[in-house]
Amino acid sequence: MSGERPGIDRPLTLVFAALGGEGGGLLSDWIIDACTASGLPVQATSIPGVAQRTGSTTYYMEFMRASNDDEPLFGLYPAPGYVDMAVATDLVEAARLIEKGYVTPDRTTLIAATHRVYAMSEKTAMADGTFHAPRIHDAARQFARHVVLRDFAEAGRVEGTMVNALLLGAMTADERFPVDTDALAEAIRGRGVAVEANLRGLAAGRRLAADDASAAIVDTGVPTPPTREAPFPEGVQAMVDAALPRLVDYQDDAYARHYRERVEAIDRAAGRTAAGVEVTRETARYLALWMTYEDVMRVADLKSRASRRDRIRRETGAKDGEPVRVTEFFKPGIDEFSTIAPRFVTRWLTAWAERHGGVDRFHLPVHLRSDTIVGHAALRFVAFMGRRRRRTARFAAEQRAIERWLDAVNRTAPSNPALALAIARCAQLVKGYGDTRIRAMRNFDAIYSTLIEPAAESGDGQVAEHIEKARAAALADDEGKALQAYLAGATTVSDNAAIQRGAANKQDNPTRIGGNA
Amino acid sequence: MERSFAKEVQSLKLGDGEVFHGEGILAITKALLQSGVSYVGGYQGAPVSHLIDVMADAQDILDELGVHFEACANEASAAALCGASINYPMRGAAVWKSTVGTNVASDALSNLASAGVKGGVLIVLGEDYGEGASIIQERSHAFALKSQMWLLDPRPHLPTVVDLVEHAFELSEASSTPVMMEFRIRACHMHGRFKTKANKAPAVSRNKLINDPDFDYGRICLPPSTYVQEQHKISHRFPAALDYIRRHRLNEYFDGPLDDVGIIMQGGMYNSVLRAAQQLGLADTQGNSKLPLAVLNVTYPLVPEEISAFCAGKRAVLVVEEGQPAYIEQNIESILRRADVQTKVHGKDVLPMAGEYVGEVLLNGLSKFVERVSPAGVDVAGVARVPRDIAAVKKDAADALGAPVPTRPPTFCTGCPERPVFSAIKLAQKDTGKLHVAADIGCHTFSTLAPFNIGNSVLGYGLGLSSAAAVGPAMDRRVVSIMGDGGFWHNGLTSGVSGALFNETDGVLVIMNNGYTSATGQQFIPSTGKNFKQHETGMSIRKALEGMGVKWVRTVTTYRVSKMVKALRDALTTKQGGLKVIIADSECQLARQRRIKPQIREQLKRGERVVRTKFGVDEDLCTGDHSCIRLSGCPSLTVKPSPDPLRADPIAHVNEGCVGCGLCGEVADAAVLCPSFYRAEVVQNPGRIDRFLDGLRRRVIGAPAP
Repeated sequence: MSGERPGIDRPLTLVFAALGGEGGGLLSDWIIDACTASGLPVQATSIPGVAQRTGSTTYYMEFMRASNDDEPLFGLYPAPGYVDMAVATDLVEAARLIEKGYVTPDRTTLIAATHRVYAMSEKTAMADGTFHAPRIHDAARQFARHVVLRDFAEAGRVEGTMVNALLLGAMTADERFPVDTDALAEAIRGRGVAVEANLRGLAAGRRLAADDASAAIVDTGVPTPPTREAPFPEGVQAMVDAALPRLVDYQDDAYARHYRERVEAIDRAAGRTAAGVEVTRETARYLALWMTYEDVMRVADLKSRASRRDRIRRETGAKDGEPVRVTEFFKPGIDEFSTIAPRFVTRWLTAWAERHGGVDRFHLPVHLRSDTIVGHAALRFVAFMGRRRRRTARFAAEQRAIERWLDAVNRTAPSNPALALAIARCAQLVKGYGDTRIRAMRNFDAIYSTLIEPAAESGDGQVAEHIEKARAAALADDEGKALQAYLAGATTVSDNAAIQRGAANKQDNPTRIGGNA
Repeated sequence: MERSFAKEVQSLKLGDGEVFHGEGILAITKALLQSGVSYVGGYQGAPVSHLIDVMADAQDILDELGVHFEACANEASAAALCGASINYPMRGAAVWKSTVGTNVASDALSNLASAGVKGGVLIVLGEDYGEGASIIQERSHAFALKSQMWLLDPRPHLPTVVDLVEHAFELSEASSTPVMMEFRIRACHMHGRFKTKANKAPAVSRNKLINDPDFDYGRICLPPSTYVQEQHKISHRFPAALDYIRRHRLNEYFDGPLDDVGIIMQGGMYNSVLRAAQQLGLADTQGNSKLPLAVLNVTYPLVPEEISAFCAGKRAVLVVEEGQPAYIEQNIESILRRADVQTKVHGKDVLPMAGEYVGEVLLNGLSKFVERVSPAGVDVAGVARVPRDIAAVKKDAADALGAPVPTRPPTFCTGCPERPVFSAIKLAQKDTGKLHVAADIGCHTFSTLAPFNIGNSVLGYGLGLSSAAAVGPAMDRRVVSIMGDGGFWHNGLTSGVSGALFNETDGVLVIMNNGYTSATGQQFIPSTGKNFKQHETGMSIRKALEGMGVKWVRTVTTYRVSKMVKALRDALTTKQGGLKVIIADSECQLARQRRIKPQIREQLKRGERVVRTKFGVDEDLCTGDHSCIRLSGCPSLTVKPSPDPLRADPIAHVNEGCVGCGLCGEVADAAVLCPSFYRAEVVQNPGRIDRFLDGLRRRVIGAPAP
């Protein structure tokens, strides 16, 4: 088949993958109009169906680059191994084209925007469920005859136009594309939709595609640490550097020192082997997050900063002189009042609530205008209360839980770094507000009492794997069903006496930490 | 319709010898006018909504020709519309989505087919089968068989399609039988061209009135007429149809050098079969096949003489027939046996019995066929290599990507007013316990997908409430039924509501009142307030319900999640028996945006004060748990990498697509979720008071850092 000149000996085929509402229909209209005006045979089809509602959808076109009287046979379906140009508005849609065999080294030019519009399954994951982008970049290079991966979305923001126009421009950079930018510009004017913006997009897209320098660099993550004399190993130092300012900002220097001492302790226990360093790094990460747990005071503080006002102006694209009104959605419950009110009030309030159907039943919805003087003052006042955070019941409870966790890491790190790492990582579960946070803490406690504590005492090696699996299970669903199921199974393999102790321990020391700011 | 189809309407005005450029379904619309129809009606649904939208916008043309357009209440009334052609020489067409629409229409269709027609009747079927389909996967073919209606399946080539539309009316009149024509999704959306003819004014129409009503008991569906009618189908109509199809060569036959074998296909399969043949080196790019082809533009009835003539002298033929059962393959087998032609018939043995025949499927099937029969002068090994290579590429691709690419099913649009209702149901279940939810057809069917996964069954359009009738009494708590306003007027009012009242059903019905049949393109419905002629209708869902005697009715704005949760709780727990109806009220956001965007642009130009609302998430407060997304699923509520090196998990983020519907805040509030959300209102063209207050606040609070 190759050897034939696409668009001359056989139709040139183009498949365009987009999401509903990204202007794929308009894009194909532009191309059809341009071809028709140039007297070139073209056929296009699509399968909007229900996919128009933000689902993935494809448009398929076939053309000839020279007009001839006896029209060739045009197909209605893209066929694997028979696609000359594969175009996608999103990196994962590009991956889908590769997966379906529409991208082959003998003929396919792959043009795709590198930004991501995440699929529902990627968004609803309780941790990180996003598809691994670098793999897509590699696959693109492996399977396409010619690859054009660019950040067309960003270019779109700059040019104030949609991605479809930019991709159209990029298509014209392929010498086999049947129509030139002039014909397309005419078509864009003819359709009369956001003409100026789309013309800018057309030109910019072509520039971008032609300019290999702007080719997407794959960022595999890993923040590079500052190059200064570091008492901690590299990875750890990066974490500590990020953490210390956060802790000072959260409480005070003393609190930051306390953090540092805790990390040093782990560092000593874990040692400087590769495994040990990893334990210290992950512990340093989650310790910093846990120690700066979000309570009302923290939330009020962060929400009443000038830097935040600027960020909101940026995100809303407010012009100078355009006032921006900001409304916050709070629903403080007993926990929140407790953090501000003196202890005796807290005790009385909690007792009363327990009598009337439980602490988490009582909430006071507050819609606060934080841009007003009164609203701002209120936030600053609550933020100010942060100075007495150390005296709140919540603080004490959080520190207890932290110590318990750190102690387990400390005890296991020297003998069994793998186990220590698994324990350290469990702190990933501790996040969220209100119900979410309470649920998270419940899961953490369950894993702690059922697996961590027994293992920390017995030093039982293979438990590390169970803990990792349990953490994954805890992140599998909202209601903690997967975790319960897993723990039920896992217990059978670990020492029963330990579990008894764990269970007992869980009863006399229920850590119920919550708090929706 | 909020949209305008003026451009499309223009292409309906083309005269003799001009060139039409456009989609297949629009070409058919033009072909109807060229055929001199007196009336056109139908019910919207992909992939044929476009025909209805354009007709509704083409009043001036229709008035000039005297063509009556009816926006029908459902497919049954669209089919009944064709009753006009039983007594009078009026050509008419009805259009709908099939097979679901044909199911609804089949009562009227059976009677129409039995009575027979004087004027030609064409039923245009949008065969919603395969990729992109939104309905259960069945074939319309069976309806043609059971009612003795003829079924056309034209080759996807606009000149051929238009030509066959005109023939369809002739065929219908020659055999006094309604004709059905099926178009697959891609054919409907296929962009092509054809030479037009001038539109033909019908002989009988609202411009040329009938003054003498026709009575003929022979046309009535009661014995003994019905017996006579069935006999007449066989003795006269069937032979007449065969004769017409043969004489006018409606089916196409192409010779090829490899004439010891051949391919018989549905017309609709032509392009894809040829493309597969090209890939296997069995056809050239102009579509000249090395194998002889029989292209059946008429798939029922088959002409026995044509089939046996094509097969005579061939060792084997391949029948390419999409879907199941294999009606055509069976039909061909029996024709060949009767004619004692010993050609081997392949079909479902090398092609899949079920599912759409996409390019790759046909490629594999065709190569299997070649391997089985190895035609003289074909490099069989070379043919067999092609699909193997493609399979290898796909396997390598899968390995390279490491994991299956996440699927992307459709979901509610950004700011959709139906989404909050399901957030509310999800929240209400925290107290009431899991509920049985009888879902319905419409955008709201997406509630069955992530992140809601609400809806235990779907039984058909407008049948949500009816489908709860037997579950309800067997359930320890009340059952919630869903119904869209589209489904309500389509049949839900009569099949569901009246049934529930008559049987004293104790249950909860949620009616999504977004103002249009949104899933099919925001066509107007009785409760929209006006019809496609922009005339007031004065019909309302609430009035209809109260008129029928529903005692418990609440109207709740969908975006107020807490209020919706409360309404649901009340409906589920009230002592009051009988039917409890919650009208979930808010306009379709797509339609709304389409309407207000230009208005806002104008206001801004005129320098008027406009407040733009957008929601946001504080990136330093979000802990990356994503509960908010699991309760909302809004496309503009997404994730992004955390700017904080300490946080490994991506954080929630509201992108620029946000239309400020407010669901984020409502959910965060109702679910006691998280304080990260904020609502930002940008005051554009601020007034004096705005500027004064802003200045004051900036001075006191501290002006933003540069």
